[in-house]
Amino acid sequence: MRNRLKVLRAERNWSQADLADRLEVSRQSVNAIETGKYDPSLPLAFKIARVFALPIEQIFSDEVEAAS
Amino acid sequence: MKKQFQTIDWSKAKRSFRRTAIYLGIYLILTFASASMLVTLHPSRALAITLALVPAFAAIGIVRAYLLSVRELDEFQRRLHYEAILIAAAVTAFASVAYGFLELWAGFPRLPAFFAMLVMVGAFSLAIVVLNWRHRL
Repeated sequence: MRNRLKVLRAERNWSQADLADRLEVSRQSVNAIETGKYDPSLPLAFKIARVFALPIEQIFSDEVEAAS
Repeated sequence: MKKQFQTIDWSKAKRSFRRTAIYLGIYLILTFASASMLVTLHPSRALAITLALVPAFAAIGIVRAYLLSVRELDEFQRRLHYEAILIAAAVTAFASVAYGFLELWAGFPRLPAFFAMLVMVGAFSLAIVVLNWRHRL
């Protein structure tokens, strides 16, 4: 799964720690999601969408769909 | 004060350490007491079995402390722990089967069963350190 977390965070001038605080997870988790090493659970993905005030599909996309 | 989630949340880490230390202390005291009584009192078989099992039940407290600590982690950190547990279980299974054959067919000395626990704790500790290092910031 691909995500635009890093770009969205940069647009808002948030550090990884800022985002981690808003999501109530560790900075290690934000870093793992951003670098594509970890796909978040649905509840966390929805929380990310809420924090960025965006629909979930504008943050996460299917890698296979994106490639085609 | 705003809640801060860092790689290591020190307030949670301290609480977890204190909880583990208490249960470990209880375990060590009971192990020492049980061993002393077994050596000095020469109890009947039934009492010996009971005394020998007392520290084992105390070890459940250490497992409880660990479970409570894992529940306080976020989902990614929990996944690292699950992966470490899986690695530790696989290493323990391999080590016990391999050593079992060495005992049976190559004349290696018999080891107490609790060596399996030492292997598992060692493998888990190594795995969690490596996994955290791979996902370091």
